Amino acid sequence: MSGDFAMTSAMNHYTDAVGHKAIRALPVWHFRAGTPRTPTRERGCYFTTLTPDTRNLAQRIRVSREKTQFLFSFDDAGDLQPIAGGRGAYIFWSRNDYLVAEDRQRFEGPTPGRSQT
Amino acid sequence: MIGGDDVIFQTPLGRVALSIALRVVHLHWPAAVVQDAEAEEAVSPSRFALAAAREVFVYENAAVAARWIADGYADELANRMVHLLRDDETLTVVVDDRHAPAARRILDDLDHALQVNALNLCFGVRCGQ
Repeated sequence: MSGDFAMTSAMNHYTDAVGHKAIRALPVWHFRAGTPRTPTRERGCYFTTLTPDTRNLAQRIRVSREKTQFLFSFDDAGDLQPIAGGRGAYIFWSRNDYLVAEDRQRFEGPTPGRSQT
Repeated sequence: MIGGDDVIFQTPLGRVALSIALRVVHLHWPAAVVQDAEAEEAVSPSRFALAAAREVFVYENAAVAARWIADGYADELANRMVHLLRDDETLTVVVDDRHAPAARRILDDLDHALQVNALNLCFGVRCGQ
């Protein structure tokens, strides 16, 4: 599914090399619910509508630059919930593992436009 | 994975809430610099154009800002950047852990300041009646 990335509305998940390898291991992308480093944030899978060309992406989603090196992008099925507060405009989540079938997948690979470390 | 601990303040103060938040954070971080979420650089609070801002990053100082802008989050940067988002009814303050002492002090002072200003707003309306 690597290739041209269409910067239209989609749900995105940024990760590092380890995460990229794990998620793309099977034809159906499997995003596993995890425990965030923030004690008060609920365990789950987190996604964002912010595209790779978003200014200050790492600050907005509050991750290391390394964690934005790889991207999974897929069609939004409307089944993810916005997080509470202002960042709910662009951050969504699932309490459980989240599967993305091949017909929803748009792009996976090194995040376009970002230098690889 | 997404980082951050989102603390939501219900407030009718709108843009004023953002101004209050910047002042409270600046009191705790005298060397703070401020960056609009759409801007490339962080600037001193006195140079920051607040009027149109809706999403802002406030860094403890210029060195912290440079680290965040270059590398994103790192453990040693925890709770040294405050992310502010405002709309007409809420102010969201994003830190790394609301219970960490540094974040707690800022949040408690901000809560107090917003309540005081909301009361002043109500008092002003009554006086105008």
